[in-house]
Amino acid sequence: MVKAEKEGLVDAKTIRIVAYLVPAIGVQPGNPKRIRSLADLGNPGVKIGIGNPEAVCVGLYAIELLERNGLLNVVRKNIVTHAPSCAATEGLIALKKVDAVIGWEVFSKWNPGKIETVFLKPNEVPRIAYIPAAVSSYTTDRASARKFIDFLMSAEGRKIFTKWGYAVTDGEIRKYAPKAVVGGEYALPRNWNTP
Amino acid sequence: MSSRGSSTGIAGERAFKLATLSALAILTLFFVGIFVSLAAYTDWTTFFSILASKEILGAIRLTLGTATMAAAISMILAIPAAYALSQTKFPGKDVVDTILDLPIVVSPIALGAALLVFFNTPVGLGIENNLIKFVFEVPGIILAQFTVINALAVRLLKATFDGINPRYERVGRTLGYTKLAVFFRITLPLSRNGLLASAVLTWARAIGEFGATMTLAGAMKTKTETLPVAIFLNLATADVEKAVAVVFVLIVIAAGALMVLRKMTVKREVV
Amino acid sequence: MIAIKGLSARAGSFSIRDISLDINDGEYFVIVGPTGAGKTILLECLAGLHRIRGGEIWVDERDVTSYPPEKRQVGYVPQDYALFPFLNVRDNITFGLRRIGHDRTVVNEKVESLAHLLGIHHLLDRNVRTLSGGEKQRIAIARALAISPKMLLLDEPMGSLDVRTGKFLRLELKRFHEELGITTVHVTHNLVEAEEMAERMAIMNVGKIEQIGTPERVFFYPQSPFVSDFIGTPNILDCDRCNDLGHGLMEAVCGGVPIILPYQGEAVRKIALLPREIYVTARKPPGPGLNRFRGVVTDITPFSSLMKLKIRVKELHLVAELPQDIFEEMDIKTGQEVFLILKLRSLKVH
Repeated sequence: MVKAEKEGLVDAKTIRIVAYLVPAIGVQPGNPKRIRSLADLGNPGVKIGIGNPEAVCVGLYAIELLERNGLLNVVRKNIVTHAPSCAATEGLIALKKVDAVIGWEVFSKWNPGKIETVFLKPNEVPRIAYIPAAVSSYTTDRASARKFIDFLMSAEGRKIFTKWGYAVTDGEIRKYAPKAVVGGEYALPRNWNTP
Repeated sequence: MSSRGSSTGIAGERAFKLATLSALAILTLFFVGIFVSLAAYTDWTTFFSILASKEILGAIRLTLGTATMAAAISMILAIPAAYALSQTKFPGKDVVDTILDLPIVVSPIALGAALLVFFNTPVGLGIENNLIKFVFEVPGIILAQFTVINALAVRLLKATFDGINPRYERVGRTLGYTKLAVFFRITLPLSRNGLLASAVLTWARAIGEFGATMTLAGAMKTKTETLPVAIFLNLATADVEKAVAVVFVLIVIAAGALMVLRKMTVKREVV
Repeated sequence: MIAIKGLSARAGSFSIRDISLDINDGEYFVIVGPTGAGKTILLECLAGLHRIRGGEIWVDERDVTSYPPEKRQVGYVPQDYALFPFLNVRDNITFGLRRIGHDRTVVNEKVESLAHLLGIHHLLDRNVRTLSGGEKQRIAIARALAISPKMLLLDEPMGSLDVRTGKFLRLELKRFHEELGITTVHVTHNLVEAEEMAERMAIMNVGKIEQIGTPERVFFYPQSPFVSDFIGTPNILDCDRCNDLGHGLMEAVCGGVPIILPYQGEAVRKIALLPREIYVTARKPPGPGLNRFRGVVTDITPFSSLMKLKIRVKELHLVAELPQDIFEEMDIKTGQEVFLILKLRSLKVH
């Protein structure tokens, strides 16, 4: 969204934050590989999946998370695949194709019983993501677009997000990562994919 | 005006010819139009630097390597299988025929998904853990391509073997050759065009395989990035120039394969 | 000698049953019959190419029934010859020799002698697709003979040739056979071809042998209504006496009717005349009266698109055939007097 705003693709005045996403590790039910922390992802024989860092935000967050905690080089060798979307990242666990994914805490609520969340230490989380909404600069029906955003932000809209496990206020998410920035940009290190 | 009068006679014949030729022209223009728009989109100076990039060269190498393997394995299995299907009568042949046809009509992504699920079963896990790792690995690309193209190879080869007059093989037998020797000395040489055609077509199809590859082997940059996966990844990051460059690579490979095929088969026609 | 004993075989819903047949060494034996008689299956059984359900095949006192084709040592020429299109003429001929692994000089000598026998020197380096039907036939025979087989099996060898080429090649084939003296089994649907080629022939119909014998024997003594019908139901005339007329001609008197024919060197006992080879005319034909007779129509029966006329000439009762339209034009009635012309060339004698 920051990029979209910079390039003038959205009307900056209309940007709203609908829900917050905190990075977490997703593992298979029962946590068979006993992954307790970010560092455990570097254990030998652990298969890890992340979103495609170049195209999927959750993948980009994963790389940032690893880089900030000095684990990128250790964990990278365990990354067996990149998923093409957030949902596909979660699917890697649901289909038991990997032992762990770096995703959002909310993954465990998408497929209850098929994925468990391992929370990161609060100081390990550099950045919290959010789901924003804004009116596109190319809209042909500004009024309807605004009305939709108003609905998302209304009590009714928030109730729907809450129902599906999403944090809709800053406060709810802060407990996981008090020092993290919300949103903003992160540039992939040039050698992210090669040791 | 009588439609009957115009549909018979020379006028009707001309109208019919015109209609069929128009359809042909529209189709040809459609594809030429697509290629021209691609060419127009391409900035040729960056095109070659993209082609020479490590990522794309790697993708080309990976694609050619895996497709060649997949096509080779397919042919080795499909030749005897198609021969059996063509020349032998056995109960349940229709069922076998249908099963072997399924992969041609079933969506490749469905085949990929089926393979993915298979590797969750005890047997699949046993293979993964003790023999070869397929899921998210390069052998997975070969397996995915093989799964998609094998039926095509069997189909093309069966048609070839169906078209062989059994008298050739019979003469061969009376000239002192065993059934096996006749197969290698007579049947295969007689099938030369069909063998070439199915090898080239299945190979080209393997090069273009995306759905099953993506599902089984994943789409990890530089690791399981075949040319079609490269298009997908680069479109996902809105790197259209790179995607278009890869499209061109695929078109050139396909056109080359078809031209080679035409060159090699035109010489010999069946007596 | 080839001995076929009580052979049965099946192809789909069709079968040949209880075929027994002896073929002598060096004999030219023809199996003739209409399409669907089972001739090709019988030939394929001899070559080992067809599964046998019952009976035995013996070659030179050896039971070869269970031998696969590659062990039979038969020279097989299939219908349409099946020359290998991926090999040139020479390589087609040497195909069977190469398996045995003869050294080059032996192979070359063999090709030389076959080329000489069959007159195909000029064809050796040709592509088989450029050959004419007659040339293909000779190459196919050379390929079959190259492995020095015990017998030569020819399946409709004239089938795809035009009439003139076929006629010429029949003579050629006879010549090869005389030179080589190889036991030959020739399958055809063409009776004329069979009569011309065969030393003995077997007439087959729907999976069974109807009669075996020399062409002459079969023609004058058909053993079944089928054979009689297949050879055209000839009029068989018994002859009482013969006179040598000189100038290469003779006269045979049959039932009081003097018939002039080429001098045979011996007495003629029977003459066979096909109904379709008898000319019938209502008016006395002009010219000399040789082999032209006056007769009376005793009976008229329609027979598919033909009319069969029974005609009495002196003591002879002859059957003649006329196409329906010609018959109607001539307006012939029972009891009417007609004239017959016998075509000299169509007479068969015994």
